[in-house]
Amino acid sequence: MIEVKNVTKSIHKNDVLNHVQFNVRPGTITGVVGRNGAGKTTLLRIISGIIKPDSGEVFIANENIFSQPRVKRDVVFVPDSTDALKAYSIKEIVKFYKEVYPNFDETYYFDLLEKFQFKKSGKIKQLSKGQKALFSLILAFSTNAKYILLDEPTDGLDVIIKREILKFIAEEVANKEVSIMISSHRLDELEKMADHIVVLKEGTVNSELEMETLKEDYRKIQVAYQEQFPEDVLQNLEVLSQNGRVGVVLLEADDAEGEAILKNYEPILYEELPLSLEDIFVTKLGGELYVS
Amino acid sequence: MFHKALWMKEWKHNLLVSAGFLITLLLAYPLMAFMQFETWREWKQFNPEIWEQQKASQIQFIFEPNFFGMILVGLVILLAGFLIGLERNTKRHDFSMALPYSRKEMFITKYALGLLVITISYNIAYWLMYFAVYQSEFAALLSEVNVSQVFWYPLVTYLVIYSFAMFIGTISGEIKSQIALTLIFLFFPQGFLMLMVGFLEVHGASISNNAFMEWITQDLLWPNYLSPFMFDHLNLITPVIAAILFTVLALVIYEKSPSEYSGEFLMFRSLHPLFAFGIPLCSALLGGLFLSSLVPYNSTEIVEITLFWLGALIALFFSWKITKKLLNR
Repeated sequence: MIEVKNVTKSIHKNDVLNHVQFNVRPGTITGVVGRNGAGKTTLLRIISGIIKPDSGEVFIANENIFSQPRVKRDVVFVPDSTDALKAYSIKEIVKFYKEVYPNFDETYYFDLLEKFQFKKSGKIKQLSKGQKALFSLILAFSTNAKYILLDEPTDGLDVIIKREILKFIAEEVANKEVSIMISSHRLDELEKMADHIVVLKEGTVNSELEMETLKEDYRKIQVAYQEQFPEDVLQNLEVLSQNGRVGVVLLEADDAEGEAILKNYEPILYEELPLSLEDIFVTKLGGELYVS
Repeated sequence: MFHKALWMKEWKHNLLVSAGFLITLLLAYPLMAFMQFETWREWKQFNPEIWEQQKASQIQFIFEPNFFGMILVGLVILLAGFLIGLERNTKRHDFSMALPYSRKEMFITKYALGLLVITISYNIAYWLMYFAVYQSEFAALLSEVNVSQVFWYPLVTYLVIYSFAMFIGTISGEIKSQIALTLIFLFFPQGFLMLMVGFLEVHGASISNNAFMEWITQDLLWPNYLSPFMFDHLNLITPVIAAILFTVLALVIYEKSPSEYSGEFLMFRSLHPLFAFGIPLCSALLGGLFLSSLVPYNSTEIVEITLFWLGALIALFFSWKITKKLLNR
């Protein structure tokens, strides 16, 4: 398990992370979401031992990552850029990774390269942007590390390669005992994959959500009224959108009082809509989180 | 402590500059010797009298680093820049720091690689040249050379400058600032002393040379150890102690350097006030000294002092602006 305990970090006198605390359970996908500048990348860089926190600790399998760097054999950080690998060839990097990660599976690595129609030789820098992103994931999963940290893995990629990457991550997690941490501002992507969501807002953990129960905890209701949209509803409930007499409202599952307010004005339409992660975040974070 | 992966990584990224160092040494020593042999043969045949007069200094000449010494100093600084600064310029820094090794192990690998490159390359070039002379008809001239002195002085010079450049690398955030700061601080004690003496002299104080000033301008000026004229006046113990000191400091600082500032001018924000004060101060002293040196010989002291302060203020203004930009990048 990864344990992030009370981590605080300031850079250039700005508080980037402030008493951040959460756990990543084995075999799960944890999404770290937040706007640009919320501290997602800094958090991943701290967990992978690149930068030290001003205070607080990070434990992996009960070992402090900074005092016991060997524990990082089980952690692979995949940054949003593959620049660090550009000097290597596809074959050279295997030799290097085999030395660093004792469980590196060379056969599996070359099988995946074949599956995704990569050349088995040549420099990594010659690959296209999407191929580089996919390649760094193949490399990371071939290490058989227990924890893989992905920083914006699909950022700036086209739809086809994005879909391929997300499918690949999902398959790998299904087949292996691996925990994934993904930082992203794409809620729609995380919604399909993540088990657990950590919401970062201005360097603090705004909320932690379990995807399994999340949709059971809220209801999204579309209502329309004969006359104008009631002021009472706008004032007292979480209104996701409103256009004239029609509006969409988010209620907690057991919010009988909210339901009563909606029904009190005798809506001509009262319909429950499918709930998305975005709806919850927009409400919980005051519409400040979602950046597509 | 030995990690093959770290050696592979460092070797991969430093092969080019290491090869450059070896090739320059081969040019400086064995190739230079072979070229000189031809000249000597000509002299011996056609100007035997001149040859008899010159042969001792000629054999000493090929054992000296000469102008190649300065190129090699440049390459040593570049090697240290490739080992530390270049990595910090790029995403390779994050990649390295995420590897399952301690910072101490990473620094020791980098340092040892550079140390081995310098030592092995130097030994290859030096002894190839020695055996070239030894096998030639000029072997008897070897008795004119203090082989041990001409071997150790340049080698220790390269090593102390390398250690110093590695130490500067630990406080600077990227290769350009590492190289610039290494060059500046390599001559800083002598430069600052010169500026202070100039300042005091312009203001009427008379400064006489003393042992301390001589120690700074002679013993602490590392390139001096490359000059055969200085060999007898300098003790190798000073650069050896300095190299050990720089290495220990570099190791301690590398372990503590905050990765979040890699790519910036300096790795430590706490050093900013020192640089924000030091750069304008030295620039002002230099500006003042420069302008006061333009004063005609027969002008009064007041004119000289006025021009000094005018030059100082102009330099202070521009250096302050530049320093601000540099530190706020």
